[in-house]
Amino acid sequence: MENDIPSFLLNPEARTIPTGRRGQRRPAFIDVTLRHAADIVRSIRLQADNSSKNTFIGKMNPCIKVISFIYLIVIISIVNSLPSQLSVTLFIFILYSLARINIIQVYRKILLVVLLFGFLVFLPATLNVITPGHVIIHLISFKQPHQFWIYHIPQHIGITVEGSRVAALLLLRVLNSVSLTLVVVYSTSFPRLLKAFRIFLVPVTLLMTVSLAYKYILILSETVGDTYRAMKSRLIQRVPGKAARELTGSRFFFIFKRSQTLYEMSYHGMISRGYDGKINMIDNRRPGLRDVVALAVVVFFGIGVILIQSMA
Amino acid sequence: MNNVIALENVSYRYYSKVLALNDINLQVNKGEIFCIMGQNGSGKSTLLNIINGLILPESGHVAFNGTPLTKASLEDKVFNTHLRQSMGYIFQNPDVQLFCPTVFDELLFGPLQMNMPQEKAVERGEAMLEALGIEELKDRPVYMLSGGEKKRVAIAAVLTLNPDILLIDEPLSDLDPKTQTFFTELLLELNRAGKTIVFATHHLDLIDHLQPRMAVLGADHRIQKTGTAHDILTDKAFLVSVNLIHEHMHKHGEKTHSHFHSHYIFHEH
Repeated sequence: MENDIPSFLLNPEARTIPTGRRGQRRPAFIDVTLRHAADIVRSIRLQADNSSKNTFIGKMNPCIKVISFIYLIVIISIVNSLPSQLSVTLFIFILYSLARINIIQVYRKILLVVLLFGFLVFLPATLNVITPGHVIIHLISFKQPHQFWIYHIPQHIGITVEGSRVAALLLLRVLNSVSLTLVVVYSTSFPRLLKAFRIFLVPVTLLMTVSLAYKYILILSETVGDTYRAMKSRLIQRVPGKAARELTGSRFFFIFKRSQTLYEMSYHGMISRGYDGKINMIDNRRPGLRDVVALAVVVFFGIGVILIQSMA
Repeated sequence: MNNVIALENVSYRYYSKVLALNDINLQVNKGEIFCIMGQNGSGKSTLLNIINGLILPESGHVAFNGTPLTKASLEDKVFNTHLRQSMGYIFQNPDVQLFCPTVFDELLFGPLQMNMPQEKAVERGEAMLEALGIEELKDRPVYMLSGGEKKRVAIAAVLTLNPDILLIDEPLSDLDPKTQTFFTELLLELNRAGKTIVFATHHLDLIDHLQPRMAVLGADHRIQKTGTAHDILTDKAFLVSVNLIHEHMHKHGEKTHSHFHSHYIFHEH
């Protein structure tokens, strides 16, 4: 079989240098959307990287981890004093260190979200319109107080000591809840986390389905990312709207077909290894000694936090 | 009866349109190494799927140990369990075969489906982790593995079942050279222990190593020739006709020349 190479491939191409106005191209909507697919892959890999570290928190029995998590969330929700919430913050810091997770990286994300929402929700709580009390920072004055619906608007509006305390408490509560959730998520691989739900008697079939869906999100996100990069490498300039829509539509169809093939073949894979509608999986819910010790530490810490509140 | 797998006049079309197999007749004997060879798209994987009872032929008959593979027989729990215990199938694309949360779950899936006691299944799982040098992957989610690691896990996951018959689609794909050698030797060892090995490939070097009995599929999806590895690999005209060797260019020092050869069997200058 002889190769019949077209002659143009064997001669160098005469290139024309593009002319016209220089400038940066604005990313298209589709570019931004597809880039988010790559972000999904990145975050899944980051979580898996963290969870694979050989740490005390990483190796903890996931069921014990989930029980401890729920217990601490309840503690965070019920304690109403600043010192108690601060002690929880400190405890969570220790958990991050034990899990060897980059605290700065995670807190940068958390603080951004917490402050953004906190600013909108907690700022009004600091004002004497919502929380009456001793004004420490004076903001606005009216000629006389007003009554608006159920709100009494005083003559002098400002930030109160009581309001600041309430806002700080709410802020810490949200911060602690989010950071505690993230330490559990980042230190436990998704499959182990799913397995922990077996203590709530969630059927294995459902857990397996969620696990498979998670895997396929990753595979398909990677496919989307690769498709996007392949398209980008061949697109010299922006494609007109209609052509871009057709191109994207055909790619979506390709990805849909690929996912369909994947699940059909996976089903064959399961059948060939004995799946007959019922899944038997190893039951490794039994905790070890260090899991029991860790749970005891968490329980005693919770009691300590409540004691701090009663002393405050 | 010596035949463990028998196919008689088997044909198959995808979506009732695209022809994948055309009038296939073959028998695989107990304890032999059997290779299904053919160029890309000739129907090798479809044939393995039919042998494993994953898809049923459009026409013709398939039998496992003398029992026909039909919708009714595959729905019979006792027969289905016997078939799945006896026949392990390693897919070409490990992504479709790995569906459990972690590597260890994957290894235990088959044995636990066969109601093996948990302790015994764990023992087997750990032995396979060690045998394939993947102990450090034990608790790793399967989506976090590289291509070669996935393949090794897929192999281990089927071997934990200790099947009598191993079906393997492209055994060496995704494996690095060292693991390729290891796996080829493992197949020879398993065959020496009495296991029947059926594999599909278009790599002539693997055939040279395993010396199987062979069936070669052509572009028309029919079996073109059956015989020993020696019969097939020494028939240069036949290999050229089924697109398994071709004239290609290569370099010897500064000299570039082209001729027919397979890199492994023929290299005449």
